[in-house]
Amino acid sequence: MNSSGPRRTVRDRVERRALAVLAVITTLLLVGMFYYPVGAVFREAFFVDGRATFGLFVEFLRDPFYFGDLARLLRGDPLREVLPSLLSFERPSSIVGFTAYQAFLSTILSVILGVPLAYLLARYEFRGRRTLRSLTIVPFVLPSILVAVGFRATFSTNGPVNTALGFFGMGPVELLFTLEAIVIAHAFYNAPLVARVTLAAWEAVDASAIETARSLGAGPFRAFRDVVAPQLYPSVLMGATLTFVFTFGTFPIVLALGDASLMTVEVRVFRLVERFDYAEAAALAIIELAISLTILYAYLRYEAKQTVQSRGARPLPRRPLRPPALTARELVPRIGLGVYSLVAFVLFVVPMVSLIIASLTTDGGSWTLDNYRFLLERQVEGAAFQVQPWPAIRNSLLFGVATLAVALPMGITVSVLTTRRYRGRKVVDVVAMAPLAVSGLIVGLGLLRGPVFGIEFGGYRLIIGGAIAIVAAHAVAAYPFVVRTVAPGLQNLDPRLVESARSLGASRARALVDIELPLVWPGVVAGAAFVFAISIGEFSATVLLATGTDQFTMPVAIERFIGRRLGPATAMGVVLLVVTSLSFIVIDRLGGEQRNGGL
Amino acid sequence: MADSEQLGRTEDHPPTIVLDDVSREYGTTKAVDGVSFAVRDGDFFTLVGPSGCGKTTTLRLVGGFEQPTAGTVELAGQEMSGVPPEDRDTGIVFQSYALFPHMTVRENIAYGLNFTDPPDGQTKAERVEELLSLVDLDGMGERDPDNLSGGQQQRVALARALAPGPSVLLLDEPMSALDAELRERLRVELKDIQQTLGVTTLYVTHDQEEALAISDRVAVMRDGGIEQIGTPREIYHQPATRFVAEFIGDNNIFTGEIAAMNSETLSVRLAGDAATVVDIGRPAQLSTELQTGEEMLFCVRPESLVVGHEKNALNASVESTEFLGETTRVQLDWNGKTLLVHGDETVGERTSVGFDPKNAHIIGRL
Repeated sequence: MNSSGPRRTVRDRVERRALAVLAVITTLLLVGMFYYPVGAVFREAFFVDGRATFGLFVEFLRDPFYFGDLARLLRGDPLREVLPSLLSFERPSSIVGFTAYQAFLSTILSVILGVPLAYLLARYEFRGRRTLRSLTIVPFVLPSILVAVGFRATFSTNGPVNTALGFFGMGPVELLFTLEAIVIAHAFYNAPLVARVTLAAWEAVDASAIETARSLGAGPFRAFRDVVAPQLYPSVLMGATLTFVFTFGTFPIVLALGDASLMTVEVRVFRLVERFDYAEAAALAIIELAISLTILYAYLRYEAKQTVQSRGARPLPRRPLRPPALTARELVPRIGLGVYSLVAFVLFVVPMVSLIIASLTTDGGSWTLDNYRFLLERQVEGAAFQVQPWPAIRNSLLFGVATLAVALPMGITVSVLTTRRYRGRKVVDVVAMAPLAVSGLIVGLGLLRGPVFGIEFGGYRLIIGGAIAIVAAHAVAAYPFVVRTVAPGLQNLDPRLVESARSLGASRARALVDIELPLVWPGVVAGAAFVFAISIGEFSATVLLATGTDQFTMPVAIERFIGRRLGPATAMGVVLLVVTSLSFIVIDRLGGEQRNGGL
Repeated sequence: MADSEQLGRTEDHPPTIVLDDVSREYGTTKAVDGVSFAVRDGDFFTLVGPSGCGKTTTLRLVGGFEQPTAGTVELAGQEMSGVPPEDRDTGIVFQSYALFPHMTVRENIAYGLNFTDPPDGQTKAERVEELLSLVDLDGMGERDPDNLSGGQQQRVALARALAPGPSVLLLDEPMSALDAELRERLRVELKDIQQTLGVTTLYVTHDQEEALAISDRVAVMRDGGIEQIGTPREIYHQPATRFVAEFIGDNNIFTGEIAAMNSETLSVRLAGDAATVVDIGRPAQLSTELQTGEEMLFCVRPESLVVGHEKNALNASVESTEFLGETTRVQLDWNGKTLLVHGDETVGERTSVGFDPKNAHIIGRL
């Protein structure tokens, strides 16, 4: 408020520059934690013995082990020999082929299970609708290793499914280590995502558009086909595309539910890293990234051509779930939904319940707390290479807090920088959100090969410890979610609020702290919950960076337990479930819903 | 535009706000184009114009929310380029009020006192009380802004802007969200407060009536530039351009050719009817030197165009009448041109209107 230059203190001067300083720090962190490591992966893949080459990629493309029939074609096998197997619907044996195949099946199943859920939530009113709607956000916070353990518990020989089948004199079914198990687990994960984006579009349909169609002579089905469906297709396609990309890059689920014959690209990358074939691992990871980005890009090009959806001035009315009349028109959809609910219950609820039951029972089937007691034992059987449960829990919590300390300020800074209007904002947006599209395995590999093994700095060797690298990987994966929860709130604030504060004498940073952050506080807390949940559940990068160290986390420990003893794995899974459920509740209460079906 | 008389640079009354040839471009569009004016200490100065004329951008340039792409802004004799809003001695009230919704009325008003001491050695609490009573909101300090009426919110915004004792008050259409009756009452109060405090005020509005009612001086803006600066009376009675003549109030614009001239009157042959020659009073000094035979523009306000006036009589037919309460606005057709007069119900189908030569104002050459 005054121009009294001499009174300006050092604190004043720091405060004035605070935003610029934060922006610089965020940029440096982003470079150090993401762009440099990813760059290291690229360098690893493209430079062999100091020379730039595409050699590794060419080898991959021509190796039937990876690219199957495509590789045979590229090697020069005649088309007529390759074509029959190329066109067959049998499960491809090559790694990329299988990865795409299981992603395709998972996408189909996710859409089949997701769209009816969107229909139920969009068109029917019933008790618990809002809760069910909120639950569709769960896949963002539920660690995939947890889903894997849940499925292990569900389908194990004495798990609930086989027990139930046995009760009816059927079974047992052996679903573990099959493609079916993987696809079902993926659907558990991605059907809610499909439902979420479809629901957002369905709720945006304007009831008057349908009423107009009806008054012009269209029957209910025709009106749906002509008015509602065209508004839903793009969203279903968006959900399907995202599901395909996510499941194409699947890792923990296949690692835990698959076997040697069921190997996706990411699992293969992991195996290559385990064998210290870093260059090959890097090249394969880049191929995967290229495929994913191509699909995403193709989708975005398509989406850009779509017209903007009408914002529902008046959303479609919801019908009661209890049929108002016993006519076929009222009954058929409800019976369909009943069947769907049964399937959904088995798919979504049983794995989590099985997880909890398995954690409380012995192999023989009697109740026990032994599995939880095991978690608290500091020293089990002494051997140093053994995974000990307590350090895993402690590390997870420590890394979670540390990630929060890094990712939250980063996310808020990026939110501020991307909600203001200026030239080049789009570029900042893309650069800042790129970590969303890059697999944790690549970031982990980059951090491992760069800072963790050491970077030469004119004679000095800078080595970043495994713990810091893990926090870096978590922060990179998590901070975009802070942006997603905070930026929309900032965007909706009247810019005059900040201008008023500034004209009253507040610096830009002070206005952020005094005015903007208190007003978007729910979004900040929801973002923090996301960060914590993602850090707690992160697997891909952590498993690489924790190999051979004592920096392993709960998900890594679960993966190591899973092969030997299911009991401790499920107990730790329940702990993880509790932590992520708490995060979910925070997100749900405080602003998960303001993101309308976006990522 | 920038002659010193208009800039108000006089020794005894130094200007507090001076804009010198200021422009603000966005890409290829010029939101503000070479604007110059000066606001004298303690004056109430209004920027008025249609939407998109650049008046709000001009105010934001003074507040430091925008930077000029050319020209300079001076506040209290200091050049302001690169000075952020928080370092300018200004307070601002926006159309949306922008009250901080998470703070009480008291906290809103006190916010600016975090960064500067209250004037006259008051404590923070005393200052807030003083302002609450100044805007007639005693006892409302603990309320949430959301629970206030529009008029009350506007007063809180005003009190908040005034609390740190700024030397310049910026008001960006602060009345336009209020209904007409409240607006009229509040503008009287606003003017009162402004005069009590003697704070130099820059006011932006699209409402020309409001501009005339409240201002010491008015600048009429159009397409990023200033058309005319003057007192409300000058703006109303002596519009410098056809735009000002039409934008401020109702007006009848005539074009014609100067048929004859003497020291007191001009005889003008009206365009549209060569047979009609009217006499217009010739002011002591004309901004443009006119010659016989030249095409020129002049205007006569509806209230000066009198039914049945013998001088300069024009025969017209009645198109429509609008009853407005105090008066009836009558639209006449005179040779295909619409004329506005103030009349009454008694106006027949055909009528004759005329005007006193001294009530016609010469705008200038066509």
